[in-house]
Amino acid sequence: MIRVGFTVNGRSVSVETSPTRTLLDILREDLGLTGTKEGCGKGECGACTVLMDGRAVASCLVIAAGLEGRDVLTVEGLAGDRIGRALQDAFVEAGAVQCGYCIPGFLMAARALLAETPSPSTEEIREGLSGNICRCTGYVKIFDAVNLAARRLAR
Amino acid sequence: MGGYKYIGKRIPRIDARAKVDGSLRYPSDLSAEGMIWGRVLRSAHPHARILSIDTAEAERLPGVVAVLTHKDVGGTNRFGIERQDQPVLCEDRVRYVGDAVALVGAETKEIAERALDLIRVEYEPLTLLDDPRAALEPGAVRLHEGGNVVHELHFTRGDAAAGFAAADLVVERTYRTQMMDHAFLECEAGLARLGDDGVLTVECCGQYAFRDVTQIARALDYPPEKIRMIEPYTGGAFGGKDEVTVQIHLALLALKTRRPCKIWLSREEHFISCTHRHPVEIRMKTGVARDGKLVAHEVQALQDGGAYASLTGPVLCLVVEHCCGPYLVPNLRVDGWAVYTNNGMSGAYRGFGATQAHVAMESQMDLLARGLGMDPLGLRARNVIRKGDTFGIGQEMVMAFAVDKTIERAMAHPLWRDRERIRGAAGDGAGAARRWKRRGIGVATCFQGSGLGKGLPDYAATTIELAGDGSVNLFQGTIEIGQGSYTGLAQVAAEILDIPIERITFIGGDTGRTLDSGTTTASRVMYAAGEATLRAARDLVAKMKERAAGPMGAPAESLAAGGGAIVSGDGRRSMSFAEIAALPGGPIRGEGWFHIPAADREFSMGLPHLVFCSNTQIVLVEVDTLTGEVAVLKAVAFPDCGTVINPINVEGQSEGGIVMGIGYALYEENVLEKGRFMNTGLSTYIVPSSWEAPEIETIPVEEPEGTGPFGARSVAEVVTTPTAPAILNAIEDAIGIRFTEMPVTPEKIVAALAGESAYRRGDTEGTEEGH
Repeated sequence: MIRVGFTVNGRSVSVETSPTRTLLDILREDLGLTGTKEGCGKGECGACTVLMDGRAVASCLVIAAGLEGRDVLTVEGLAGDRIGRALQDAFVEAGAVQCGYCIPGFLMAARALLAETPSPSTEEIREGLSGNICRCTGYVKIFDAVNLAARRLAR
Repeated sequence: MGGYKYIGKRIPRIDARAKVDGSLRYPSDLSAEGMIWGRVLRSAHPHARILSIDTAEAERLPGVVAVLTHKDVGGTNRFGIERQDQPVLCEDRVRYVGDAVALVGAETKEIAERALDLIRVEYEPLTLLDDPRAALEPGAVRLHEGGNVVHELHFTRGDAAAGFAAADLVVERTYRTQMMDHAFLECEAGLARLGDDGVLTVECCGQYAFRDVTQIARALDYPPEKIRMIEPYTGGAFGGKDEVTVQIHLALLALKTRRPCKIWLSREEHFISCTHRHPVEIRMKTGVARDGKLVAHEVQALQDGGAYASLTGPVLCLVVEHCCGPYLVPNLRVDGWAVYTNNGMSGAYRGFGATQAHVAMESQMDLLARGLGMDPLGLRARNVIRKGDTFGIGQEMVMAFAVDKTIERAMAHPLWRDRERIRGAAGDGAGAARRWKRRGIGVATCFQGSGLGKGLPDYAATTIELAGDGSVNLFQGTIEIGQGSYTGLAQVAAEILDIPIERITFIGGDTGRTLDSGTTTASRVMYAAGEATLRAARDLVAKMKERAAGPMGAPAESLAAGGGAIVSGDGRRSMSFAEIAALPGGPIRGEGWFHIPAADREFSMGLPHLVFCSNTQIVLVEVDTLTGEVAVLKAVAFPDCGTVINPINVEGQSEGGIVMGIGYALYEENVLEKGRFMNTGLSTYIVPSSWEAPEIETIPVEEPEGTGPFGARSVAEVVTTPTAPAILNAIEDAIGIRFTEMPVTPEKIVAALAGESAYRRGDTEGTEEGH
C-alpha cells in the first residue's frame, strides 16, 4: 500500500491504496466520484476520460503510483470551470445527450480541446473526440454542442 | 401541428442535466454499506459435459463470502423470455462459452476475480455444432431435448412458380448477415439487497422490470411479491438488455449471503455472454414484370440462434413478416428456420429480424431496378404497400402508413435529384488528382411493426398523481435506455395538464411504484406508453374538475385545465392545482391504460403486427479503390413515425441509428472460431467513431395515427434498418460490385476489385433471367 496526495477538482486529497490501482477506481470507489464512467477498462472507449494537469487521459490507464502531486479535473468539477460549464449547457441544449453514459468522457475530451483550440474546425472536433465512443447519438449533436460552446465562449 | 405548447417542440431532455454534471446514478454506480462483489465463472468450452465442480479451494480464499453452483438454486434454474431453456448456473452441460458455471461473492472485486481461478471444473468436451446448416442434418448432435430447431415458419400466398414463369426478370442471391454486438457503453450491472422483511430489491440494467420479477421468481422459487426491481436508467441497451443478464445472479447472491451485492460485467465478459444480432443466411429469388411490378418472391432464411432460445423464435417471425419489404408481392413462398448452435447467444437487437430481412430485400430491389433500367426509388414507389392493402403473408394494413410519402420526399431531395453531378465530384472536387476515389449514391426503404404483435400481452399504463404543491408525479414502468421517452412522455402530460415540464417529476421503471407498462422494446414506448400517459393526464384533469366543482360552485363539465389551474368556462373563477390538492378528499390520481391494437388472426408468436412505421434513406459513399476504405459522406433519412413529439429526439434516434447501420455495413462483426469469440474488446470489435459519422439530415414524414398520442407512432428501429442496404447499394453504384456479405471491409473491397468477376453481378451464386 502507498499513500498518494493529489488534487481533484481543486480539493486536496490523500488516499491510501495499492500502487497499481487505477485512478478510475480511486475516483469512483474511494472518493465517491462516480460521474467518471468505465466502459472497457482498457483505454479503448474514452468513457473514463479525465483531465490530468490539463491533459485528457483515460483514467483506467493511470495507476496510483503516478498520481502524487497531480491536478485532476473530473466531470463533477466542470461546473466550476468556464469552458466546462459552457460545454455542459451546450450538450443539454443541443440534444447531445441520450443514454448519457459516454457523456462525461466526451465533456472532458471537449474541455481539453477547447482549452487548446478555442475555435475548432469540424476536423479538429472529430480529431479531439476520436478517442471517445458513443453508441447512441451518431456524434452529430455532440459536434453541434462543441461548436455551440465554442461560439458562446468566443463572444 | 399548430396550437401545441409542448408537442413538437425542441425541449431538452429532462434527464440531461443530471447526465452532464455526473450526478445521475447508473446501475454500475451503485454501492451499499457492507457490499460484496459478485463474479461469474463462464464455461471453458463452447460445448461440453460438466463432470465435476470443486469449489473448496476458492471457498478457502480469505475474503470469499460464497461460491455458488446449481446446487444452490432453489427454483427451475432456468430463464428465457420466450421459453426458459437457459440455466442460471449449469448443472451437467455447457452449450456456449458464456454459460455460467459458478458464482462467487467476495469482499472485493479483486478477490472475486482471484477466486474464479481457484474453482476446479472438470469438462468432457462434446461435439461442436458451429454451423447452422449442420444443425438441421438428421445426424447432428442435439443441443436440446427437443432437437436443434428453435422455430420454423412456412407460408405461401398465390403461386410463386406461376409468378416466376410470368416474370420478365428474375434475380436470385444469397445474403449473409453477421453477428453484431450491441456495444452499449455501460456493461451489464446492478446491485441487490435483501431486507429484513424478506423483500429482495434489485436495482439493475434491464428493459422490462416486471418480467425480470417473474424470471427471478421462477428460476429461484422466491415469491414474486417479495421482489422489487428498480431499473429506470441504463447506459444504452438497443435490445441487448432485454433478456436477463445480471438479474438472477444478483438475486441469488443476495439471498444466499444476505449481504448487498454488486455485479458488473467486464467488457470481455459482456461480449461472450450477451445476446447479439442474429446472423441470418437469406436466399431470395424475386421476379418482376417489365413495368416494374413485383410478381413473385421466394425466400429461405436460416437463422443462427446460438445456444439458447431467448427471443430467437420471435426474431424469425419478424424476418418472415418483413421479407417482402414494404412492398406488395402477389405470389410468395417463404420458409424460415431458426436453429440452436454453440455460437454464443443471439436475441433482441434494434430492428429484430426486420433489419436482416431488409438487407436482403433492399439489395434485391436495387438489382431489379438495375436489371430493368428503372430508377431505384421509382421501382420502390411502384410496389409500395398503402393503407387498406393486404400484403406480405396475408396481413392487412389498417393503420396510418406513409412509406409512399417517404419515397416521394426522397425522390425530391437534392442528394437524389442531383446524384449524377454529386457522383461525379469524387475526391472533394480535386478531380483528376483523386481518380482512385469513386462516389456512389444508394437508397433503401424499410418498414417495421410496432409493439410485440399478435398473441402477446401488449399494454401500457401510466399513473399521474397531484402533489401538494400543485406539481405532479408521473409514474411509468418503462425504462429510459437513452431513447428520450421519459422526456417525450412528460411532454404529452404537460400538453394535457397545461403545466411546464419542470412541474412534472418522473418516476420510472420501478415495480414497487409504477404500474406494469410492458417492455421497452419493439418501437412501442412513445406510441403505447404515450397514449396511456395522455389518458392518465386526462383522467387526472377530470378528477381535479370533480374535486373543484363544489368549491368553485360550477358543474365539473363546465370547467377546464389551463395554466396550472382548473378554470371556469367564463374564465372568471379559477382554482390552482395546489389549492385543489389542499381540498379534503384524499390524494388525486389519474390513471391511463392502452392496449396496442392487434390483428384478428395469429400466424405465429407475435405475428403479425397491425401498427407499422417506415423509413427511406439516401446515402452518399466514397470508395477509395486503392485502400478499399468506404467513407459514408452524407445520409438523409425520411422516417414515417407519425406526429413528432420532440424533433431533437427523433433526429437523435435517426442519427444514432444511421451510424449504427454504418457499423453494421462496414465494420462490425463478432468473429467466432469453433464457438469461441475472437474479438472481445473495443479495439478489435470496431464500432464507428467520430471519424465515421457522416453529415446527416433527418426529415420526418408526419402521418398521424389516430390511436397514438397526438398522432404519434414510434421511430426507434426503422431509423437503423435502411442504412446497411443503402450502403451496399451505394457501393455498387460507385464501383459496380455487389456485396452480399457484411461487413464490407477494405479487405473485401480490395479483393473484389482485384478479381472483380467473383463479386460482380452474375457471379456464381447470382442468376439473372430475362424472358
